[in-house]
Amino acid sequence: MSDAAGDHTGNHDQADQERALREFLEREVPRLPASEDRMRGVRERIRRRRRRRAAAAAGTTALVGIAAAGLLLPGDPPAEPSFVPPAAAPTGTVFRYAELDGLSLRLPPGWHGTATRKDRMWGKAGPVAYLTSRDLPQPFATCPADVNGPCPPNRLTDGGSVLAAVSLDRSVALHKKIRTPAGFDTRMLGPYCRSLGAKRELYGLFAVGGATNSHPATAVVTLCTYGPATATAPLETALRQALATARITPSETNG
Amino acid sequence: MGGRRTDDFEAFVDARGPRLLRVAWLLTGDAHLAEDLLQTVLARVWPKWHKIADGEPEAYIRKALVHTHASWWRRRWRGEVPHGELPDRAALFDAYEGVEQEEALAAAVRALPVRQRSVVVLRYFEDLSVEETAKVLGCAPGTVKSQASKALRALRAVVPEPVRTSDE
Repeated sequence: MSDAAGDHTGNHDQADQERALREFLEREVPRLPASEDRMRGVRERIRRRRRRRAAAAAGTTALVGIAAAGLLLPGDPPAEPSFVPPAAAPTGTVFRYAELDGLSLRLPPGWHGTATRKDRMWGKAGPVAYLTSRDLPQPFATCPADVNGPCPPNRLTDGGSVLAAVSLDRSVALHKKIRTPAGFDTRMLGPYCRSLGAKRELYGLFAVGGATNSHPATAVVTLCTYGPATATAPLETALRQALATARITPSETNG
Repeated sequence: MGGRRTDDFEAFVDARGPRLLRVAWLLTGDAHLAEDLLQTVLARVWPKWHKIADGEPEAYIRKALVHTHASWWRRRWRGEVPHGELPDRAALFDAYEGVEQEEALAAAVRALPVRQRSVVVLRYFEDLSVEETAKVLGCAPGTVKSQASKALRALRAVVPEPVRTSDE
């Protein structure tokens, strides 16, 4: 279907460039691995659309429809634009980190969560929650009281492994740095992820629901991955969806 | 979802998903956004599957990808923000052959205006003609040509080596 020659531009340079660009794109556009969650994600989106339409047909507002889908609960602050809303019918368990002001989130199915009371991330001691796509050793490795560095719970040793370390920040300034949509950026592999044997490090800021505008909550997430980006992309997506469910639930018990 | 229609749909997604995901990646320049875009479009297409399955479903979905991405762009949900500090690529990607080139392409793609991206995807990745591209985008063929020229110039500036035919 190429018609570079048929464009009659008379510009051989452009035709060459077009040909080279085609070859380059075919060669360099990544062949991402098939997401095991793709059809599940599609089904969830279809269900959400149906629910929204059903709610609208029932005479309720779209906002109620969204709330019913678990995207915006009564008492929530105005919804922030979120590219990937939390799954409407998640199958993972809700994990609550009492150490982090009662931060709770719905883990992706098969993921594990745990927390330390004290860890040093970003040079500041404080509790850190861990989420990981693989089994954590039990009992969970504990940090010494005088820990002066990261307190790695595990080592990443297989290509599909990722581990996220989450700390909570309550500053307005950092909250303003949350990008829309929230997500991860790759950054230089630091000592924390390196200590886990990770090959790649990502960093992201995510808004946490249930906080006030004057005292917002930001989940500061460092994601360590072992495999190449193409292998861990579905896990990163699952984690972003989990982080979109993050809320401060101070009065609840561990779930 | 159930029955033969579902089986057909899932078989299609299984077979053509990888290619469509590459199209989505080229539109978004990001693996996560690409998967999001593809799933969003597939969910929108599913209710109409019985109508489009016998036609050219891939062309239909490709067009939907382009237009859905453009609508995200208009709503500024693209999540592409300038990076204040660039990562040390040498340190980051030593272990991953080819990742650096992929990152460079992603950056170049993200730097293109959305219309030029669409033209690059349709003209140079999906290999549509000028007229076919214009039809998908709902614009004049001349617009496609001008956008293609601009995109070629931009990509040559950002990723110079790939468009040097002397290296081919």
